[in-house]
Amino acid sequence: MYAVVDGEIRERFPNTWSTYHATHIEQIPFFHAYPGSRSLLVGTAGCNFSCSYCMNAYVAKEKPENLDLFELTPEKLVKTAKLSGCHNIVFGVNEVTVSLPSAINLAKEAKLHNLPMGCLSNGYMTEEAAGLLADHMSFLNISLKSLSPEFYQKYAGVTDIKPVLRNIEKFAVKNHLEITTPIVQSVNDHEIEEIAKYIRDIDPNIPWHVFRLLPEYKMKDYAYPDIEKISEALQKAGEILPYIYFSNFVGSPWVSTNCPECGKTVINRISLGTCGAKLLNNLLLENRCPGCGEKIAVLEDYEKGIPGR
Amino acid sequence: MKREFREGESMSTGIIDVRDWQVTVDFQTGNKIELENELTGMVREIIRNNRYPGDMDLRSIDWVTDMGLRLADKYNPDFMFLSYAQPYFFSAYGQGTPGEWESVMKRIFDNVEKFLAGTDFWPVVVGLGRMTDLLGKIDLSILDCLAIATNWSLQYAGLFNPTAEDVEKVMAMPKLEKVISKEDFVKEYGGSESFIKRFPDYLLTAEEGYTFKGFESTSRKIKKIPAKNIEIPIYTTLGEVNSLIDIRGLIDSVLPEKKVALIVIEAIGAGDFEYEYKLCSNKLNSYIYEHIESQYLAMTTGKHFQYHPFPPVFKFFEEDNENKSYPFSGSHYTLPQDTIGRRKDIKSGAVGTRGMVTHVASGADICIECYARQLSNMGTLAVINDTKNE
Repeated sequence: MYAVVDGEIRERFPNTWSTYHATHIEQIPFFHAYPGSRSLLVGTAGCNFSCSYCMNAYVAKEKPENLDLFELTPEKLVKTAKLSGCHNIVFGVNEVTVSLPSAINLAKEAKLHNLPMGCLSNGYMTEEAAGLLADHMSFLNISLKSLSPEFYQKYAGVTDIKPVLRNIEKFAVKNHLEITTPIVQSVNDHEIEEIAKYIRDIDPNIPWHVFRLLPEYKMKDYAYPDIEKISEALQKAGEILPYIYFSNFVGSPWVSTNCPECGKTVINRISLGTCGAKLLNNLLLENRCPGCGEKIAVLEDYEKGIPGR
Repeated sequence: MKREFREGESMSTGIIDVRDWQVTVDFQTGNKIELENELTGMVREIIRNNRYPGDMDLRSIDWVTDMGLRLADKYNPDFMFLSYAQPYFFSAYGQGTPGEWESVMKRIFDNVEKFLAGTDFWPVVVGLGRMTDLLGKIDLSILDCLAIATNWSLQYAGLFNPTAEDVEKVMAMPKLEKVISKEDFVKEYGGSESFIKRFPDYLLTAEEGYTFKGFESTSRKIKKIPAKNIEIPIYTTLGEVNSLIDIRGLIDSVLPEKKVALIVIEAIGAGDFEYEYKLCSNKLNSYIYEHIESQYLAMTTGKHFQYHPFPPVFKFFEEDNENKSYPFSGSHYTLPQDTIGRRKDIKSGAVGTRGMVTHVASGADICIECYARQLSNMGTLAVINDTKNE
């Protein structure tokens, strides 16, 4: 949220947060970054999209001045992360670009204390903003809602998809990137194969989270996504892209990581509902499959840079 | 009707229904299992045909009754536990108009009547206490220490490793009713080893109408919170109850000769209670129960909160890792075995819209509960416990 003050763009609510709490990174979700680590999840309020199905409308679609928020400096948040034993910090809950200076300042402070920082984003931002995120975030999960401009216009309230695709391609080169696609039954479920191909062409090691969207907010009357049908489509897409996950339903069998080479389950997770999952065990040996030795693209502390790229 | 167990599997089975899709899991590990028998078939059928409408949907009140009647009909339990949590959700998050509240109350008691008319249970009906307008929040984020305030326990917060300055600041905070150190708490209340181990260095209590904000809080708007319900209304013809922990003993004294239904209704105090009630104590010393797990467990185990494993505020995130068993049971590593539903000489069933708490606190042979998180409707969870019949 910004205002022009004396000819300068200023953040309206700097260092003003809607939540700060500890969770496991799989819940956010990141499945290929620091598996099993504890994250300090922070968020602010507001969004630059107006998605008809928003799950976090209570904070993303609410004006910050109407919410009971926290005034917390980057130093305080980093200290809290350390007090609660968090390995990293993630900006989630709402769109990071509405509070970009606060997020960047937090990332800078976190870096001083060797805490990696990541974020969730819809990817809809200027090249300059994307450059800032790429420079300061160690890992990102970008929501690619569709490959259709019409979908973005009708369901997200923005005019163009191009900035999202441009930024995804930029982040994939520089950062650890995961992609999430919410599936709306009969609206974008036919795009599964096409999106898988798009991601593969950027980098086949990018994990893709397909999200079973519950009909909420302005789409309450829509159908619940058909799990069997989507699973069938994802099974086929698995021949295109090795790391596909399907979540937001309890007990999903699609949340573990299998070795693309030998098929062995190398990171076992359980879905407790909501968007991510929970780690049960990580069998990787220095990011390699214990069965066949294949390298699995997972961001870990002992690796400098991004493994598997 | 019995499940055959493989090595390493627990004695409890979970069946999850998320609309048109079901999965069966070993309840201890959370891993998918293949299991088909008469009992699982029966439970699958019940939950498949009656979808949970959602926390903020009035039809969820009917859902409890309908599920309860189906379960009573198919399983014929001696003890039934029904939990109606909708009044809490409507009160805390709804529009809160008087007309809406009246319709909620009418629907609740119509449903209780319907359940009792359709079965032969002796009722024990408990209102878990009225709600009150939220007047304000006490901001703990200004402290240097880890100050935890969660939506699970709105009247209480906990400080971990506070500095002397933190304690001084807290003492000066307005609307704070009580600050008790761990040492003083243990002297006054005692408690189980696991409870004390997790207890914060300081437990804070807010005045009526006030709650806390701090680490772990969310910004979801809440309009009402539990009042200081020193007493709560109870209706039964089975005998006298002076405290909520007496409910267990009363029910124990008549089972299995009489079939009993313990029916709990959240967010209702004496003013909304339609039956001829008596008041029973809802407190221990200065600790007053809220509509959370400790209140349920006090009723179903007959033990006060400090004899259960988890205090009202603790560092759950430290334990929520891959080593934690029973992933669908919140903070619990094992399912409590001292609840009414675990009695070896009875058959028991439970239905509730307070997810997790229903199966944890009832301990029933078959539990059916909504699977909703932060008001998002994820579906239905059924738990089949087999251990006591082994």
